[in-house]
Amino acid sequence: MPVRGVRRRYLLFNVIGEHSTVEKAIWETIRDSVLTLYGSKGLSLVDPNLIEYNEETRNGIIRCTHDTERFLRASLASIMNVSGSPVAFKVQRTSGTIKALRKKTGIEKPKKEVDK
Amino acid sequence: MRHYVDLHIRPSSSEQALEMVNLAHRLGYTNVASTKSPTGTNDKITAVTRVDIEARRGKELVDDLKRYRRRVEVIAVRCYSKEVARQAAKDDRVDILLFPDDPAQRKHNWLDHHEAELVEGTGRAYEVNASDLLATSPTYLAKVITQLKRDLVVAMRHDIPIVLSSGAMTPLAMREPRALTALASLLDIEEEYAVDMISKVPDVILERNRSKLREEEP
Repeated sequence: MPVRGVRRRYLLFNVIGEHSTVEKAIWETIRDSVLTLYGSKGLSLVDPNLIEYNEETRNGIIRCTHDTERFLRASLASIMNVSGSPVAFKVQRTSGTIKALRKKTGIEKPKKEVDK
Repeated sequence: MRHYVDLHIRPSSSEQALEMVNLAHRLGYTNVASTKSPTGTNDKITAVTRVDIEARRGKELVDDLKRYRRRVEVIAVRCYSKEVARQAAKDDRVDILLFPDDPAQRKHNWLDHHEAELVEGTGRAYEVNASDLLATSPTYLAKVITQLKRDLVVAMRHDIPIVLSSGAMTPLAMREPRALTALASLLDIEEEYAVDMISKVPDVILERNRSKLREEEP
């Protein structure tokens, strides 16, 4: 019988704020927020992973473990600024698979850049 | 389908109040209580008037209650002293009890058992503002969580209704209903209970006050 690995949840979020922010800063802010609220053990339980972030649309997809979605939502909600500029994170949709999330929201998979 | 209510936004101007009311609609709320009247209207959301009374003495509180009760739909009292807290707990014109944001002030004013006994069974609610949980410093946040949890234990033991509001002062501090219930996890509140805190409990307060105001209309 095939054994499934860890179940995940995928959250589509939007960053609201006046200034645009880079993916690295977004990821570090989310990770630090989880760490601040739930500590190192909590961070390992939530196991957040920023799948993608589009700096133009300010939409991003972040993954967490299935039973810690509420912790990740709280961590996103408690973020007040990224790199010093005030922002708010709004979770728009969640799903159990990234494929379903893309389908529901109409977000296309980013094309890989090919080195010429 | 549930109706979500944000019973506490604190805009700095009427223009900002309208912006926040519109945003509340986009976030999924059906009712929002603002401490400033918005300049315009939005048909898709009900904007409710609210006043936060910050009296220093019991007498001052009574005077303020007399002035506001027939003019606003929700009256909250921020209890900066035991005297005001006791008076607010006993007065039927009060809807919500609020305690200071600052942990240093909260050290001396909190929902103790004597206060809770006065509030018990009256329908007056204890309010938690999510804005208190958006602190930047972890040590400050830890203090806030400890103090709020202490109050919540007392409120639950005495069956005092608890309202969860954003307490937002700017549009960027407003959060969608599920974000508020997620923040309640910091206070060990179960999700189902937290959902009631932003839907059923504030709905009861609004309905009660609306029917009172209707009765008083000539």
